[in-house]
Amino acid sequence: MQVPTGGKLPENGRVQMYPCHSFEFHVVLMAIDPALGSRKSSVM
Amino acid sequence: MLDVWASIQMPKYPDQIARALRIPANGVRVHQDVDVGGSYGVKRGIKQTVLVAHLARQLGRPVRLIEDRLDNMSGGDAHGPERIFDVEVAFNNEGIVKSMKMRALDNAGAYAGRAPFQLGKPIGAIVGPYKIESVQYRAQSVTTNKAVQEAVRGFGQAPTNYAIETAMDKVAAATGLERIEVRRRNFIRKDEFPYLIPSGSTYDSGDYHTVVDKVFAHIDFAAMKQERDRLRAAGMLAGIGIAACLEPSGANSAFEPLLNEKNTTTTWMDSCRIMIDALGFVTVTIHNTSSGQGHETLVATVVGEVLQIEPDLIRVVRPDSLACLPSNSPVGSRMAIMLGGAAFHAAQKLQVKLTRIAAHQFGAGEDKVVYASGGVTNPKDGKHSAGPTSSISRIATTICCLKAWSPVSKARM
Repeated sequence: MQVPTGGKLPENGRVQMYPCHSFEFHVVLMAIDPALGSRKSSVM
Repeated sequence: MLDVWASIQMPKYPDQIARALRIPANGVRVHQDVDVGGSYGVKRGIKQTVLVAHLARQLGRPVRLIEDRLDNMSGGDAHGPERIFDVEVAFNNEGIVKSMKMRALDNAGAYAGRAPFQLGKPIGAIVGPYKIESVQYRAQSVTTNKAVQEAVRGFGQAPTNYAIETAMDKVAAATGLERIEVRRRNFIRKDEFPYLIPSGSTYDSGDYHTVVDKVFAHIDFAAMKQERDRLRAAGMLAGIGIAACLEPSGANSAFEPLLNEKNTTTTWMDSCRIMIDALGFVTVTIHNTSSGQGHETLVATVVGEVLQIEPDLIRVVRPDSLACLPSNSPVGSRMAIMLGGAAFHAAQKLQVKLTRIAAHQFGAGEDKVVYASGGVTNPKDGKHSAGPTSSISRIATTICCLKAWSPVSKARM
């Protein structure tokens, strides 16, 4: 069984669902001071 | 009457307050025309509202509840997921992942609450952005003596994404491939959409490779590595994390049909009401608390496109709960999908109604009247009345005079 595909609003007036699957891509440089526990991050 | 202004995004908030205080639901009036600030899990809690409202009603005077962090944690407020994953993946020497077994053990706290939902929603994107052809997913939620769990991060998918991404890093380590290369090899390609994943969701579209290419074109990855090495040499614990993930939106609508195929719609509807005044201007009523997502812009844009009216001419309002149709709040990243859908359907209904009334006025068949550019064309003389202050205004005025039709259209989604 498939859920309805999205892509455009429905034309038949039927209640329809649009499971939107947004894509995310992250590149993160993280550093933690082992003595203090403080962190420094650079997020892309 | 209990009037409530609160920084809360709880679905069915007025009903829950009434139930907790054992008063009629129409004795609670939640004012929705306030922005609730940040949008996160504990904004669904009603503890503070119930306590303050109860004491204020008992004492007959204003009551302030002050709660520090320790009070908050020991006082039974909700926490995020505490989830243990066990992931096995089958992959070849090229780093292509063929299959995945995922087991999730979730600490729901003292009451089930919404914790099982948080295990259910990831089914809608259980393979993330990857072409994993078979999946076994076993999720268990257990009650413990801890505080209850609340829906967080719109909701439930983030821990699953972390588990999938950790598995991808393990595949890279085992094959000796770069982590990003393993991801590129396993991404669904743009020419493969719409793509049906093993759990039953269909991803409609995407171009993951291009997104990644653009990110790497924007950053200096070699410099990041040098900086990581410099930090490590300086005694810091440093590393570069990579994550590619999908976030299903629409809340329950994203996974309810997967759990029960008889469920052809969602149990979590949303609604809006569109009204045309006697001068032909459009006002849309919504019942959806806002954290600044831009409900008004979304709804005005959708309604404007359907009615072919300039969105700036459309007024979107959020009146109190007693003056609204029911809603389920914007939780779970559902606002644009569910409220947008309701606005679309309501506008469609209204356009049909306007066309029927225009046909009646023109003495023509409904199929002869064309709605376009915010107006209608008289099939007898071909004259087009466009713009909200012309044809729609006259139709709305006619409606008001005749009392035969309601110039209101409602839709639920």
